[in-house]
Amino acid sequence: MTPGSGGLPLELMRQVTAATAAALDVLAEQAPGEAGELRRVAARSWSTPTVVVAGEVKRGKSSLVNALLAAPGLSPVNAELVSGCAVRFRHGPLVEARALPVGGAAALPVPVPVAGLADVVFTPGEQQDQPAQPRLIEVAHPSPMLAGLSLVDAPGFGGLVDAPGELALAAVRDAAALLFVADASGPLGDPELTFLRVASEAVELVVVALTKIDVFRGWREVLAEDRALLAGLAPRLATADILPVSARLAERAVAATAPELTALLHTEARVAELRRLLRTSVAAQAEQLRGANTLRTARTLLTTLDHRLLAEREVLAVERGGIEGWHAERQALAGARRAGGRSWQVRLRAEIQRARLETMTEVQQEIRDQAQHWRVRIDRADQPALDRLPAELDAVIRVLSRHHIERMLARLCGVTDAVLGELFVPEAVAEVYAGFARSPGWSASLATPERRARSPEDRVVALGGVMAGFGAGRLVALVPAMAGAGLAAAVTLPVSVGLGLAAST
Amino acid sequence: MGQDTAGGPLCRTVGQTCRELRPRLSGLSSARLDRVLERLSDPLQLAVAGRLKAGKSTVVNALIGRRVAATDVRECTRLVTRFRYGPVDRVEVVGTDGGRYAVPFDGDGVVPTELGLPIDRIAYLDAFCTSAALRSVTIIDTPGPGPAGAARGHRSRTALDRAEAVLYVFTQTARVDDARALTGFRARTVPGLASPINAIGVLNKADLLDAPEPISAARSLAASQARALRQQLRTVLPLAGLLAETTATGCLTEADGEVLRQLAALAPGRRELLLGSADLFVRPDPAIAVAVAGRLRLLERLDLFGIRHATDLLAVDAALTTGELRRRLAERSGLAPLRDLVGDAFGCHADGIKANVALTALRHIGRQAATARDRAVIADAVEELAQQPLAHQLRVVAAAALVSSGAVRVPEQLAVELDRLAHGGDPVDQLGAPHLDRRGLAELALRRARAWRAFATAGSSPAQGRIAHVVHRGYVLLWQRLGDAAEAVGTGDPDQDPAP
Repeated sequence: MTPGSGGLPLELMRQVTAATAAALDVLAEQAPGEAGELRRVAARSWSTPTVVVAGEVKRGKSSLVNALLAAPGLSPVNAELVSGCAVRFRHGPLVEARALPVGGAAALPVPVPVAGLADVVFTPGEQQDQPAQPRLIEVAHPSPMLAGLSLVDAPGFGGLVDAPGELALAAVRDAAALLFVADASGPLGDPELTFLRVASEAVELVVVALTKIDVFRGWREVLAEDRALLAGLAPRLATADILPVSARLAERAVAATAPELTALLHTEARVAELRRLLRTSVAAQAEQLRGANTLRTARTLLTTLDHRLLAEREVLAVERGGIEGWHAERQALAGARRAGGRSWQVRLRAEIQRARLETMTEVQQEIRDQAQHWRVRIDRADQPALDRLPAELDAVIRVLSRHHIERMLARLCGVTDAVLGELFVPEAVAEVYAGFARSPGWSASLATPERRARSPEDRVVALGGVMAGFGAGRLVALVPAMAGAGLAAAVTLPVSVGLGLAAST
Repeated sequence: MGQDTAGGPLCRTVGQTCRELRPRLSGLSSARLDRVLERLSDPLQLAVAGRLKAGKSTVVNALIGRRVAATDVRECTRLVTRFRYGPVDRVEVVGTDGGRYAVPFDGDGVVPTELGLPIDRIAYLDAFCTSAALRSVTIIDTPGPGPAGAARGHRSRTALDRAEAVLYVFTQTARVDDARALTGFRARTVPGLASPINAIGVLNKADLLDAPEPISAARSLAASQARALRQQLRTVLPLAGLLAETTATGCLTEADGEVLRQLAALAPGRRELLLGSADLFVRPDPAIAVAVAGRLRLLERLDLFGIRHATDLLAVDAALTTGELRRRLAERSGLAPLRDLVGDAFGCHADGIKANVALTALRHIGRQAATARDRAVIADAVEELAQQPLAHQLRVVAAAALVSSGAVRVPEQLAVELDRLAHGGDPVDQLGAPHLDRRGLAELALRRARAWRAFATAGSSPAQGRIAHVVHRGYVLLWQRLGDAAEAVGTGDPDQDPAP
């Protein structure tokens, strides 16, 4: 393992601490309130990072998870069936499992017997009280492996049914690390490489586990070929760790009684090395995320402070110029307002209309395509395939709706940028965004496992949505009110004056 | 079987048409026609395809019964190699410029590594072997898809273009790209056949499945894969490739047998530990008297599953001879059903497959012909051919393939009957009535024709209807043929209702 690819070097850690301390010093002097906020962020504890275990179907993901947890048979393994939904393993004093049904936060988790996991994972639920396959199964287990991280056993992709590839990718986007499971039967195939390329863009740390080295005696050659393939894929992946492991030997080691035999099997299974690597590098990853988040908050706070001080300096400069400067400024602004008229309102309306149309066209097109696709599937399906269809359809819809929501968010962000860009000077736009970033309850967080990290832009989208709802006329009153948090001390900013005038007309 | 099936009745009919056409065509078209004729007299061309490391060359060796294809990572496994029957063992290197020259097999009888040309200037290899297995079928070993295979893709076409049937090798489970590769491969090599009649899947390395009883797990896995891939494959067979290769090529020597006996004599606990993994098996251990070199050789010949199975057999009966051991291991490998299927299914379908491919090629030549006259002449000939009673059998074969692939469903009994009609060697086989005389057969054919016509018109879906019409006409033609031969039962126009 090369230094810096996973673990956080001490030097960098020291720099992060120093930078945070320096930022605290500046803030404590200029803005004690903000300094308190930075202190709070720096001390915040993080929820455990998630490691997603993903790979093609039948590569031995579930077996590997069981080996990592030293819990044979916990995650259901079947040589013929393919897991249909993700299983999340988190730390808990007792072994227990619950299913989180489709339907978001409103749907309550259903307890599942641990021994009956296989039924839930492999077959779409057919019981009356559980109409669909669950969204996620959560298993608590006291394994020390789970103390610092949680594992998600994602459904395999590349099977003959096409949906779960997207599901696995979606799971990776929320994770701190990807544990990619390939096996020693042959070098990585095209679907695997494609998955790795896409996934490595979303997740920082990629570890490859080469499973089944007990059966495939050519695993050393395969490992060398995989390394070359990864290097060809992306420079960052060239240094990714590839660890050969054997889940079967690990399982036998647990079952073995003679101590020297257990030791030998453990050595040959090589699971301990993978365990160690995950623990150190993912824990380090969590530390790194924490450092990055602290620094990001510090930067936002300092930028705001910088703008505020600049504004104050401007005000002081104007005061030095005398009251005539003010009058001139006011007249110039009033002129600009009359000249500009309400063009920004027209533009906002047009942009929102366009975004609405584009989104609708896209969604309609998607619905047409999907309807076509599923019609063909239903026509060709036999009875078992039909039984599987609802679960697959559900999975695909979930992925697609997420995709479209993201597209719509991006589009509304564009609208907001365009309109705000017309109204405000860039510094003031930054100030508005910063205001959202700092407002309580919205603080940036990268480690929340369930929700994607929110950027200030996303919040402005929320504003965009509100704007669309209220209509442009009332927006005038709304914007200063919302921006107020950021502009608190800067009442004399030229823009505020302009807005104030607009509001009073 | 081979030489006669290559010249089966359907092939002869198409060949006759081609020979009649030849003098009436202009230069270019007639040269192309010569190639079609040449192919008609060749044995069936079977391509072995699959992902990298799926064990294609191992399957090739097992089928040929000799270790001729290199199974380690050599450059030549990245070339298309055609294994054909020949009186003298030799390898012909075909350059990208079309030039050919011969090189001998290397010391072990394997296609040599040194080919005398840089690999990017070689189009494909033609390996001639004296193996009897190659009399009825020519086996084309293809490189797996990948950087190397893709780069040479267009150049190796010449050999691949000739493939008429596919043996698709995959391990563990078929993946979505396997299905895609298979569709693409079949579209490229045998575009004339829209049915999976000429494609068989092999679930290789069945012994390496992660299950307590890998071979039986492989059997049910193969069955479910066959269901999932029924649009593309006729069937899927499990195979322990390495075991099949070693036992079929006679690589299990007396010395290997001796090592196996020594291993069988070890304490069960020790043996179990040795068989834990490949690395454990060849680990030097002073407590185990069996030489590491011998163990390594065994591992390369049988893999852990084979060794486990062999030592289990020896532990029960220490007097087992090496020959008997080889036979029992061969039984376990699953090679016999595959060989039967390749010989049988492809063998008895070879006539239909080859004739269909030739007919497609003929149509293609017609479309591509330079002059309008050539186009018209060929189109007429193809039309005329389709009118011949024998050519209708091609359609019956295609219909049977549609049914056996599950693309169209008909009641079980009718499906069995259709399979018989399509693949039976003579009217008695086709009708499945060995006790009847010619007259009785003719009557039976007529009765079945009526039954299928009733099925076609009443209560069948459009797809079933199309199939039923083809079958109906097939029976009518059979009836006519039987009637003509016995006596003039009637001169009924086959296109009209044969029922009085």
